[in-house]
Amino acid sequence: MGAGNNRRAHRDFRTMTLPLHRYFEDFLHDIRPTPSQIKEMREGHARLRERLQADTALAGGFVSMFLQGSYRRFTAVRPKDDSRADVDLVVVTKMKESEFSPAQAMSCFKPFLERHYKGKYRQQGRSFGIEMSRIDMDLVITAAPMEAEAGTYGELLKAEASLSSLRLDEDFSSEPLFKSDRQEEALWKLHPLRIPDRDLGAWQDTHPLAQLSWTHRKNDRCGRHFVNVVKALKWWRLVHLESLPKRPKSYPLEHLLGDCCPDGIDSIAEGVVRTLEAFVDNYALHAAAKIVPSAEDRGVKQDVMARIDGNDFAAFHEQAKKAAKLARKAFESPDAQTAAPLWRELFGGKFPSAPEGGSKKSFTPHEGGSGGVDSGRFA
Amino acid sequence: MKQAPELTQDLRLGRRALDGRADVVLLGDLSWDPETSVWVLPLRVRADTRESTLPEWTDWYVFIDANYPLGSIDVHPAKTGSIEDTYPHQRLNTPGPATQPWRDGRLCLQTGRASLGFRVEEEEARDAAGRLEWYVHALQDWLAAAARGQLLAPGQPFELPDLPIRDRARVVFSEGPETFARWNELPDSRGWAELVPLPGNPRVFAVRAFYSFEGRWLFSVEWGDLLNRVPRRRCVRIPWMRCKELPLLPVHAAPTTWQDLERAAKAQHWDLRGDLMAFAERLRDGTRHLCLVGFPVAAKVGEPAVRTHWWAARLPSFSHGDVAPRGYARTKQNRQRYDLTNLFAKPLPVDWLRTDDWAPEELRSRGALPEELRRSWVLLLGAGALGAAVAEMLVRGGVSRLVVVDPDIVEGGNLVRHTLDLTEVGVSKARALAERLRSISPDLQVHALAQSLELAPQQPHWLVSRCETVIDCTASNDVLHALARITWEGPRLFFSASFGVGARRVLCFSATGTSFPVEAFWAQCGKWIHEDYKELLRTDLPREGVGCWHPVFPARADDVMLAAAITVKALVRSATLRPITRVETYSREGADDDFQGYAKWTA
Repeated sequence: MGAGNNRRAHRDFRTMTLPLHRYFEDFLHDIRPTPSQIKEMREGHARLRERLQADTALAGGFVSMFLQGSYRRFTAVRPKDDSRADVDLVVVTKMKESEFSPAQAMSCFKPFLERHYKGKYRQQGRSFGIEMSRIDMDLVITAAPMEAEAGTYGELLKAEASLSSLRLDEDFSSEPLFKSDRQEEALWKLHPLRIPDRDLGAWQDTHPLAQLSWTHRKNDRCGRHFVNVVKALKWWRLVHLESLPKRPKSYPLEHLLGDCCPDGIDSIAEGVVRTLEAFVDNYALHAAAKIVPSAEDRGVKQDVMARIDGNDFAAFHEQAKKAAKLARKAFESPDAQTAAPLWRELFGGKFPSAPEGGSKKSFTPHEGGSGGVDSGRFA
Repeated sequence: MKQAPELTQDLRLGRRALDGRADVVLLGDLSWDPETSVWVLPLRVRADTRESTLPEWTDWYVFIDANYPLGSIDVHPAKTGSIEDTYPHQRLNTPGPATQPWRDGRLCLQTGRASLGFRVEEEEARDAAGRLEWYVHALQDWLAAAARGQLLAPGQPFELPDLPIRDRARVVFSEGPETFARWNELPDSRGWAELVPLPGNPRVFAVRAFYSFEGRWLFSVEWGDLLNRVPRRRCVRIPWMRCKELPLLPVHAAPTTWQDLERAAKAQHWDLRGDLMAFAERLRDGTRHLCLVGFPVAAKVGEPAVRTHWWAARLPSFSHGDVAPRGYARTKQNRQRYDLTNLFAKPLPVDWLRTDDWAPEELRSRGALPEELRRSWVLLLGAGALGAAVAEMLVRGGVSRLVVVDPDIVEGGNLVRHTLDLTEVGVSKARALAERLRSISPDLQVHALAQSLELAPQQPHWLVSRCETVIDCTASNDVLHALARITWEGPRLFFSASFGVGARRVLCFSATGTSFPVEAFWAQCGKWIHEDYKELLRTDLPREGVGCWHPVFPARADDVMLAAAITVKALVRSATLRPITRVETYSREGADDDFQGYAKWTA
């Protein structure tokens, strides 16, 4: 099929479909993190930053702290069944990789955590988890960035210092993820940060800002629908958790969806359909052979799919195939009354149901004046 | 509410019902307009507009109350991709401020009954899922009707176009079929009208008489005492112009500038410039005068015209004194050139005023008494609590000739159940009541006689003789006997109403004849009156206050109002039946404040 054919097919495909923008908007409204979660995130983030800055033992070594992960990328969905949301925070320090072992670097933070979060924190392989009432904060410690880049991270701290600038996804997924292209450009060019891996006993590369920047650019190419497509499909996974394998999930899943989602989509519905279909097509051979596709991280040389099992991936692919068919059927329905139940099958009860067929009664020209009133009240 | 409120589930549901439809495209989501404090929804609809110049798809802005599905829903055309003309059932469709993407021409999509405030489900959906959709359906039907030219179809009530009105003053006139016939006989197409301010209300001016352009009296409007009493020195003389039909711009737009008005005038060969310049010569005093523009209107679309309607506008001040034309000789010609440039060179807005037809049948379309009662001269004996309340109901219902007879004066204690107020304490009840009634109806001509009828000489007052309906609300036996002594020239309707203790029983006696049949009254009402008297004896009567031995009659304002309403009902019935004699009693059921209704007894 040539390019011309493709374009024609694309146009046909658009005229026969039902994007249901408002249904998806209301659906997304209901699967975003709740206002109380966002409030606690803001407060927890602000308090932690203040404490880090005020800590005399750490003050000399602390450069910056910033939000990363799905919340930062606006791809987070509300945790199902009121469980706690995971927020990832990166703490940039001045610790030199050559002077600290990963275990030593992490233990530097223990007195601080003991003082402020006693009994609420636990050490994990590559981070500290801090448990709060509605959210979990995941604290990732990084080694000193290159000398020249410390200033950029310092500025990032300043930018996030005011609470209002810490933007979490509250209906502004259509806004750019960065305030300016200059800021984005500066962050994109940064070198990867190094994080300690206690279990491996080694420092590892990470580049959260590259992931963020990639998502930002992808979202722009997808008519600002990409992050919403990711959220919708993450929600699909949560709804069908029982029939799906444990992995892929979170960032690895998001990464694959990013690879599959076509550019230039016109609606969330179209994005969902075409992402699922591309997923099914792209990985059909992998699934048949029960091997996991390799996917390199957006910023560093690292396979994000490393921890995923081939059988799990094949099982996931099987479910995605069903979902793709269902989504296509919903997308090509003639009206909302047909489409909404199908979307609800895919996304569960948070997707709004359609009202029953509308009434046809409406404007009747004034006949016979104002006389002959049948019923009603009047004062 | 400058700050955007929460987008409610109901709002989401209402606009979601429009999503995914083939004939509606939502051009954006609901956004909060802080200027007007409503939600705004831009949308594009398809309507059946075949064989018309209207496009199939048009863009609209829907304004939705924050309390949806309660509150109002307004639909305005978008500035681009929508209608620019003004149609019937639409506000004047001016573009409005450049900052807003919608035009001013709000549509009237509600049915006649819904606009009254009735909430009939079948006429307009009131639930969150259906109400917005109902409006979009209504919009589509409106567009289809507009495309077929059916918004004002033959047989439907005629509708005047929406006038842009900023002035707070209004002009009232009285035009009906009789004056329409008179106008049709007159050749004059312009002249002078006599305008009087409504006493006590500086915002309202009434047209009292019409004169020809040369100053010949044409006819006067039949107003009541309130307007007739205004002295001539308070009158203003303003121009009137008459045209053949309603001056309109396509499709159904009122002219908003003098240029527009001239364009509409030309279409019916009306020389607007000529008329204005003729008047200008007599209005060069530096003030802005009002003027009237009249045209015939029909009651229903497609039917012949039945009355004249007037629009009123404030003229610009014409060249006068030294004001203009600067640098030119102050000749008549130069002044006119200046005035015409001022009026027509640039689009000068016409400052329209609101006008209302206060002809009796127009004013009382909400509820009038039967015609035989309205046309009748009414004699009211007794301006007490019952008489005053009955009189007020009669006047509001359209009685326009009334004679009130009562020798009493208003006391403070009366006011617990009397319609008058403290400013009238110490004044004759008849005169005070007459004055109050005058302020209620512009048609009312009322005479007050502060005397008692029982002292009337053999030859009654000419006003008493003139009345065709005689209502007695005195509860006085002497008055009935005095009535019986008078003989009228032709048959009259007599009606006597009274109530017992606490207004628990209302007694209504009516008769037709040339004299009041006092014997028949006692024969038929005696037993009821006797029962009421026994009841009175059992009652511990209240007194006026310290220092007065006289007891007063107990009945609360609500009881008196009920009795008065019943009296009017019975009177209306008798006016239709014209019985030789008839007695009706209405006895209240239930203990004191446990009202259960009235039991009626008729003979």
